[in-house]
Amino acid sequence: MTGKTVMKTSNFSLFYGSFKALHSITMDIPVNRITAIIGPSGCGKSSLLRSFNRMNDLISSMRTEGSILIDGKNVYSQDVVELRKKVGMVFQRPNPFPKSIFDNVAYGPRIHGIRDKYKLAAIVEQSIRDAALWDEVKDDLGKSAFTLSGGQQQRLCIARALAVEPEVILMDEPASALDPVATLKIEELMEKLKSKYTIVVVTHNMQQAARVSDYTAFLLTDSERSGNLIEFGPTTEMFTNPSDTRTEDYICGRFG
Amino acid sequence: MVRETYEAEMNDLREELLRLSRMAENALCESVRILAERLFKEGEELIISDEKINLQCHSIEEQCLNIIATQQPVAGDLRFLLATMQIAMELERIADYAKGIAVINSRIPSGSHIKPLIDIPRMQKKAGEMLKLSIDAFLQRDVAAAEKLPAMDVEIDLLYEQVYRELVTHVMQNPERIADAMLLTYAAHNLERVGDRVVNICERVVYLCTGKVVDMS
Repeated sequence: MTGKTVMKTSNFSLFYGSFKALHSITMDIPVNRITAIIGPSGCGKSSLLRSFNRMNDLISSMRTEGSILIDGKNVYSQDVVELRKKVGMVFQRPNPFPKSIFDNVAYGPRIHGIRDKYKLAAIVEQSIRDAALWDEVKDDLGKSAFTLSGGQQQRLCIARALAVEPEVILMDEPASALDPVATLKIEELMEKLKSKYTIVVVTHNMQQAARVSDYTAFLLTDSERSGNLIEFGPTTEMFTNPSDTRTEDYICGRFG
Repeated sequence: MVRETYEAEMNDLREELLRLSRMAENALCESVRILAERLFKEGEELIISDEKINLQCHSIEEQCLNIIATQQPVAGDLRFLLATMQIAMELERIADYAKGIAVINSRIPSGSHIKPLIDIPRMQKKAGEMLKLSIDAFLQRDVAAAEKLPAMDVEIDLLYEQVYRELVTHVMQNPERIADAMLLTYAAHNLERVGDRVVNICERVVYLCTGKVVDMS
């Protein structure tokens, strides 16, 4: 892979107790690009995504081998709050806090110590603008986030992630709970966001991966049910001329 | 999991392409028989039946479009569909050359040709064989087989040059039959072009199997 990378995963394995969920994953996440992780259910793609900002830490039997570096520092040997400031996350279902639209977006900056109300207002506006939601909510910032539609709530969650100025945004099936129009809005938004951020997205929708991503990683379980990285490369190549027959069979829908 | 409907549609497309190639191959064979044996009625029938080949080509294009629109094929399957559309067009053009030979026959006054037709049927036989092998290579995704075929096109080109030289010699001896000789040259040229079209099909086989666009001519 050419160009700058923001995260480097080297021989990374993830265990839940005695079960090895990921086996020796090595891949570099290129900066200001969208990287899609695809693969059949249970192949470890969400586990890999969650490893990037240590969302798996809550599972007590979890342990890792190998390393994931962000800006040269191992994610597992740095302060998790600082890590999650650098690596934000958007989930499958929109999960706004039971607060106003404004407070949802201001939540992260407040945690990181920003108290100045003018500064907070500026951050909130910029984040909501970047999430392509400003024109729809600018007059209703005090209203509950739950008054928004599903697609708007998801963009609010993206704005909330942007408010702490992350380097990387992880998206776990960000459009799977949305209708086609809201899905397209999210996809368009991802394309715009990549000029400022690096995005890693897990998706079951292969056409979505083909549409939005610059690079694609294909994961598949081996005989031990551990997720292996089968192929990783430019999306256009993966979807026109993959080098591994297992990738070809999967993306052509012959299994999975 | 196997996508049964999708697989059935792809298999059906393979069958239809094979059918089109047989139609083109038969038209080619028949056109040279018509020319050699001076069969005018059969010539008219061949000209009319070319429409069926055009329709078959359009039907294949439509099948490809439907699969692309509804099944979102990627990778090898997508290359197969693109290559199938292009090959269908090559086959349709090959059938047009056959139709052209039947038209040429209708323009040469009845009676024997300026010279016995020996190399023109040879050209047709070689082009027909080449065509059949190229379609087999495509359907079996056999790059090695496709890579051997352009050598046969060179043989067809050599036969064409021979036909041309012989006809020039005959024209010098019988200048009053210059028009007939020119028409026979056009017929041989049509067969020479069939060889070129088959080389295009071979290039599509390489594209299907490797994703690379090559020039084999």
